[in-house]
Amino acid sequence: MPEEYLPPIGGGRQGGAYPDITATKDGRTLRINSVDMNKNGTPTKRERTNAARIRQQTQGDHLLLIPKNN
Amino acid sequence: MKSKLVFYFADDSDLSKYIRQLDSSVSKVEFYKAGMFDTPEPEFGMSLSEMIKNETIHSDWNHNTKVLVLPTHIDLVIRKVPQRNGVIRYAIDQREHPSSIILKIGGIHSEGILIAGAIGTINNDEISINLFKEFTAVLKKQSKKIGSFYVAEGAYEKLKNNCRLTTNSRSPKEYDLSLTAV
Repeated sequence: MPEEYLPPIGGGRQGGAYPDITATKDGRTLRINSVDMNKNGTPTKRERTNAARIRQQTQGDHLLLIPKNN
Repeated sequence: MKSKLVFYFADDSDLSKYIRQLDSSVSKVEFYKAGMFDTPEPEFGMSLSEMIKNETIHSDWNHNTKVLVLPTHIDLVIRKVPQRNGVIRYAIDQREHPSSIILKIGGIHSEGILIAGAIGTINNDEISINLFKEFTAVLKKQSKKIGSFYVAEGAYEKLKNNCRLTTNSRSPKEYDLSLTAV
């Protein structure tokens, strides 16, 4: 299946998210996203905001962030 | 490679109607239950309605049944996937089938909760694209577009009657489809 779609608030067309990988096993879901990093080694503000939103929307699942260009 | 995806909401009656229309209008295809399996014996030879009629709709669409749709003239290839513990598991998916599409089955999870489904392909193969167009054209014909989703007639009635239309019932309700989505 192509990448998972996480609809935005209200289910509209703008602001949805597409995690890079969504894996399931034994009823659990793991999502993996590659993210842009600041020079200090932390995800950029935009990536942190996206990650927080995905975590809020997928409570109980696991989200793994992997630095891009690493 | 750009994937193609169409998302939908459909209840049991919508799905039955959709499958009837598919039967009369699309190319000759075979349906296989997709996923990772312990044995290399695929479930096939059934109609789509037979394949999905006993399936439980999970609260999270990622766990729902996926069906590989393959033209009848193309043989199924079951991919061996060795595990770290030495066991071999068997995958049925699009990787070895460039001419296929995938249906993710949605439907009623429980009273008042309708889980989304999807039709998609990761391939740019001409047969796959044509199948994708055929399957989505039938769906679009019987649905309204609300936000990013095609909502079939029965599902639309449920939305108007405050049924949750969602991809995951554990998501906060503000992410559900709303009538005002644009």
